[in-house]
Amino acid sequence: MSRQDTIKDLTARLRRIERRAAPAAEREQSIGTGHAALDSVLPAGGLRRGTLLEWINGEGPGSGAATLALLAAGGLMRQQESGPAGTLAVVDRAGGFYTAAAAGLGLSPERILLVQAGTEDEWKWAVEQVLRSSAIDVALTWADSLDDRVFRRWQLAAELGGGVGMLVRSAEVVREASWASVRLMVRGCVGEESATGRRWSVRVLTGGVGRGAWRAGYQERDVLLELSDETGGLRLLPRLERAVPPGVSATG
Amino acid sequence: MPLAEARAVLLGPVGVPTEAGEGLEVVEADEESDLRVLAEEGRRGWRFTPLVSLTPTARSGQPPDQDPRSRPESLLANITGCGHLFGDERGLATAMHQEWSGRGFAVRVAVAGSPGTAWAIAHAAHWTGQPWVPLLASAGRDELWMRRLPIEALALQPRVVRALRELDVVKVEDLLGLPLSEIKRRFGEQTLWRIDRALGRWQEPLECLPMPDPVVACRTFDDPISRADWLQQALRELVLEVACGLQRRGRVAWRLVCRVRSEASKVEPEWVEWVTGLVEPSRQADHLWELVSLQSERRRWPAQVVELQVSAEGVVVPERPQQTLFESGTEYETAAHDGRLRRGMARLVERLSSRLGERSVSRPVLSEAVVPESAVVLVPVGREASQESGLGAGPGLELGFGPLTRPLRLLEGPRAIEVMAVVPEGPPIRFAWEGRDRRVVRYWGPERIETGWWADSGVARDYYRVETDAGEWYWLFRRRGDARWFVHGVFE
Repeated sequence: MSRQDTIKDLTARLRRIERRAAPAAEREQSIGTGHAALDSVLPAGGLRRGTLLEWINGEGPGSGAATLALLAAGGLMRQQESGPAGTLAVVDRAGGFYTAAAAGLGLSPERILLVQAGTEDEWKWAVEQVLRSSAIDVALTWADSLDDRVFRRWQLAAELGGGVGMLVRSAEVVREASWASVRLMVRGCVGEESATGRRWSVRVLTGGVGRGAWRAGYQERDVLLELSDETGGLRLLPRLERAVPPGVSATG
Repeated sequence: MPLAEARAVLLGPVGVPTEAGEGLEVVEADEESDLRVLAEEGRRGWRFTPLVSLTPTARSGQPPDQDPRSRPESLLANITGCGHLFGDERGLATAMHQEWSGRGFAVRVAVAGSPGTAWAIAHAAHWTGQPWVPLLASAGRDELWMRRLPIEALALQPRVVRALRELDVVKVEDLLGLPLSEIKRRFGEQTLWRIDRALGRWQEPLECLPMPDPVVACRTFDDPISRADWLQQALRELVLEVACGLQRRGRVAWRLVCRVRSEASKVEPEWVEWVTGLVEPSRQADHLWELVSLQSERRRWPAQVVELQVSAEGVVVPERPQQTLFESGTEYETAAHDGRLRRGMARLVERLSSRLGERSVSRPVLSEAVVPESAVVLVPVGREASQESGLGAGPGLELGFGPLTRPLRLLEGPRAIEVMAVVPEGPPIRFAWEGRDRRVVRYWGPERIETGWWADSGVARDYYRVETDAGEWYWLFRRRGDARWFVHGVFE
């Protein structure tokens, strides 16, 4: 059997195993993000506690993956079963996380714990600590390069803590192994001239290996999302609306 | 008002509550019991300052109905030199307010240059219209504050207050306008003394609550030690000793202070001090050691150590867990859940602060500042984490912008860029950023942000949100003074 045939055979076997898994059960355990459009993109129909998600910027950092991650986090934080809203921990190594923008996206600054780590070791340790803590509902960090063992430790910490870990990453990591249960490739799309919102093309990538991961059995597809600058609502766009306008448009 | 009189007014002649007394529960005043509770609360005040005093009951030699200062309802604390531990004196006053209001007391906090003035401001706080926020009289402005207060703030005898009001003397400044000899002649020397006491003209001694035995453990070495592993082991033993000391006394501590004496300097021995703060007071040996060792990871041991000392500070009686009558049901489960979350958050903040430093773990607070870089203030979380099951709560500032108007990443300082624009004052068409040329396909703006002429560092900027042909969003501005362009943020 050639190498290609072996890969095909293994892929087919993996698909059979994946199909045996019960997607309905996965969906039952998931928590909605508060944005139906985003839930429809996520394989489990929402976020699952105790897992990691990768939000990968298709282009540069301005692609907006972190914005979508925060929209999802906001929904999860508002859907606490009891007591006050949940808590978001932002572990920021680069500095400059701007809470005013997060507040604009609907997150309450009072529910944000901002952790600034100076060195790489401190950052890895801090992320593990917040993932391990049951007091944190969502942990957000930026992780362009990540050692496989550290990634695995984070995934186990998330399972232990029961929160959701969101990693914002650059496109270079796509070919790397991942311990995230869901990997989302986010590309900014040029919006229509008349529109005031922001558009993204989002694709769920296969290849995650964490708990509840969607691997070879899942069909990769692009979905178009638009966030309205006026209402803050996120909506799913039909593929036809993807036209890119020529030239420059402006709003005063 | 005597109890019998209160009963007559509120419960009526036959014990049936009048309209004013409906739902009223009558409890006989017990000043001795109040004083005991006040003393216990005073000991909690040690986390803010070691100098805490009860109202000096015996000072005026007069019963509470004759001297309002003698009522067992006030704590006087000398906070000189303690403000910086909480950011500043306002931070300390706020922390004090949270300590007692969080535990169900209706509390007023005032800071002034003398105990008399602080007492007066706290007791006349309703006059400010904000009775439940800490009030601070800045240095040298005590008398200015006092002048505006009603005469009741002077803690004069009730008959004197009545007589003054009949004479239309309502405010302190009205009284201070009268000749002293006349006041002395009509109301006696006692009144003059009380005025001096309230204005801080009389140096009022504070009889502070006695501190309990200090909980300290120390080790002296015959020969100087420089090996970190040996010192770490000695430190561990000392922390465990302190934890045992707290256990024996039935107390918990807010912080551990580690002092290291080194003889590395040839001139004189040098003391180095490390403080490990806690979000919730504790005496658990493992927990205390974990925090101290996490902190020691970012510290360097000095060479030639000859003495190590660990002491517990902010030693208080542990809070008893709240007892509920029925330990089941939704309410109990919710309370238990909240308690677990609060403890979990406290432990997390303690660990992060110990390893990364207190300033690295913060809660962002939005301010009303116009300049974007000043619009968010980072407040170290510290002890406030324990106030709620998560972090602080409360209504935030009203935002004046939409969901996509501000970037998620604000660069630490705006970075100058080269921009191509069709007209000199027009929007950007192209710009170079991080070595790449970026074409603008959509933009929103300009949004003018400028400070007034009175601001120390004036800002006048025209901001644009721009979308590039790659679908990326950036926040650019043109400085109005010299028309230079900058990138200020990335819509990540």
